[in-house]
Amino acid sequence: MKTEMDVLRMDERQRHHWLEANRATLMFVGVVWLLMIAFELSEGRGAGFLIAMVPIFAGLRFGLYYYYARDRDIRWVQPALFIVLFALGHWVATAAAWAGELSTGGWLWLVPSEPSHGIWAGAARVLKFPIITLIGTDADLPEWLGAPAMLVNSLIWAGAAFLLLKVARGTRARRVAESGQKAPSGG
Amino acid sequence: MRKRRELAQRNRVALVNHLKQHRARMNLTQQELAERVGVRRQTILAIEKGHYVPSALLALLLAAELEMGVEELFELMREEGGER
Repeated sequence: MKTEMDVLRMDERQRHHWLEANRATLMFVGVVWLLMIAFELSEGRGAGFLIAMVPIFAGLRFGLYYYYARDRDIRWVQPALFIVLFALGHWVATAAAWAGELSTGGWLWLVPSEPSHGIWAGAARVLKFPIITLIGTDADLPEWLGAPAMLVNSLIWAGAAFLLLKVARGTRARRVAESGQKAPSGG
Repeated sequence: MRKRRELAQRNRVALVNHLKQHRARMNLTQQELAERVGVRRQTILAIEKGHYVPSALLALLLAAELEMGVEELFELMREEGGER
């Protein structure tokens, strides 16, 4: 995998200092994050998203670290990473479809005007299946339940994708094993 | 506890190098040596001053360019109290 350090043609010492700079920047961002939470709370607004955001990214970072370093025999890291990243992608796609469905002036000028939002509405219905679709429309949900329901829905999609992948890999491995067993007898 | 003791012991070990002397022996400038091993001149300077510990790969490349063994170019200096 080509990194920004390769693109900048850094030697090993420069890479070391680049990573140091990354750490210092992250610490600065962390201070800004805490100040933002304090500001939101002082203004009497909820800071739930801000508070949840960084621990999620921190967890993702640890997961990716254990995946790349592989210095611990943790078998759940790879499946967990797959599920978290897939769920995140699904969540973003659902939110984008939702925004497209609700917009009236077109979304990113991709859909020029009403009533062309049918494509977004269709995408949103597909992506919101099964949890939100089964509960009803978004309007039926209490406000506090909207985000957790979307998250659970995304996790269900990710779990289903993971199972499908596992089954596909198992089938492929069986085929490879069978062809490997047959090969010597043929030669 | 064991990890802390190991770290304390490790801190009593320093890497010293004779890069500057051997570079001078070969009549090489920092820039020339840097170009030969594929790093920046500042990296050679940082190694000579002991500010940066090179990777095994770079240490081997430096030793090869200076036509000597890596253990002649770099050596471990242990302070008193450090375990061998």
